[in-house]
Amino acid sequence: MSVTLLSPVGLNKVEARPITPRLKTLEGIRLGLLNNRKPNSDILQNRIVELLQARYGLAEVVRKFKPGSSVGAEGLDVFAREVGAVITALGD
Amino acid sequence: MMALDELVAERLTFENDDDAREAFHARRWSDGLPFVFPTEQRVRAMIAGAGRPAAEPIGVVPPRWAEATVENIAINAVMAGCKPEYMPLLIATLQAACDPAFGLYSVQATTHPCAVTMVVSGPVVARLGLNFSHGAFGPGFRANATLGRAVRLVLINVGGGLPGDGDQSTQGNPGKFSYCIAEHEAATPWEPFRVARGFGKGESTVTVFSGEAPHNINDHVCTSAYSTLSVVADVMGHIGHNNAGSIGRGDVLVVLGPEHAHTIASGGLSRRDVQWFLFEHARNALAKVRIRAQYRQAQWPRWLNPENAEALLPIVEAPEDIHVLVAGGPGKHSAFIPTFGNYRSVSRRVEEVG
Repeated sequence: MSVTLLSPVGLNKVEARPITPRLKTLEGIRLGLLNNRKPNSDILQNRIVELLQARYGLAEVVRKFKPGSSVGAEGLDVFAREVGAVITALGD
Repeated sequence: MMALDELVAERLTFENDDDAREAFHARRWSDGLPFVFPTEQRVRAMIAGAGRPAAEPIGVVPPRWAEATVENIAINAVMAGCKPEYMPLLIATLQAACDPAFGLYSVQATTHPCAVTMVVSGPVVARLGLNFSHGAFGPGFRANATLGRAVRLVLINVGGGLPGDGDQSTQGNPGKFSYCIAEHEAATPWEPFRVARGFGKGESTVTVFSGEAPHNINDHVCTSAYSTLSVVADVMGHIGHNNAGSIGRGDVLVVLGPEHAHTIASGGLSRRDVQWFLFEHARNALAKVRIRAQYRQAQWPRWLNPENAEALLPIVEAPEDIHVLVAGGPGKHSAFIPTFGNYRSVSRRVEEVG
């Protein structure tokens, strides 16, 4: 005998949003670093900064730390306005 | 305009029961155990138990960020084997878990073995037949077993917390099948748990913790309050659990067996005294924490001198972050439940229906 059941899966309310336009170049930008405070994330970010600095000549590097690795970063909207691009690193 | 009693869940028709069961398991719409078929009739009866419209949103469940509604909660409650009268408690639990203060996104997705842990207090315990005595953590009682399971099925099916996918827990936790305990109020020598959390004595509440598995506290020897509490503090004050290394925002749960609670209260100690004692004694030397535990000095309290290797680091920020519940049957065992550590437990009042 056939059986009809209801799906237990939740529905997502989806809102389409365009992604931010890509930068044409990293030359001379203020680069933001968002760090989750886990061990070694600073090592990874510092090496990336060295490479980008040599290649593009960054104007400035601005560092921001999350309160903790599992806690959401605060003030991201303000941070985004202050810098041209952000690199986030998750260490462990 | 959608009618309030219209059900929106996708309907799936199978040739027979075996096909239906295998299809649900193949889609991972399950915790791996057998389940009750969510037919429309059963789901409608479950919704009626909630006393709310089917379409009412209850919370948004990470990491999929899908909406938990009365309808899809009821579908998962049917699958878990709940009775319709469990719905108000189940809904209150999910409201608490979806409160931003609980940090459900992290609790669901973390590598840490935390599970949403229900602690129920008040008249609803007797009304639903929740177990609070022998085997308080299970198994053997329908209300505890199926309510905890329904929470997990919502976290999986609505929230996307599938192991290896939205749930990245390294080892998981048996409590992720079901983790629902209740207060043994008659054996509680202090004010009831819900009153300690700021609710009225006549109300019923559920409190959610991001609990690790319970760690046993075995003490058959001590006969005084302080010696008994020293053993409790010893179990709590070790490194390796999240609260030991990430002090700042977490809280923990101590579940005293009635006999330990009686010994402690007979020494004249209030719940507040117990919290202070444990805050003072459940600590780790800074030198040990620095070398072996997760080193997060940024989250340590400012009053702690980081230059003093002998300084003792508490596992929580303040005594009130150590919550004390009495549950269990006769015997000399209690339990310590560390948590995820970066967020807080959340309580909700359970609505009376009908």
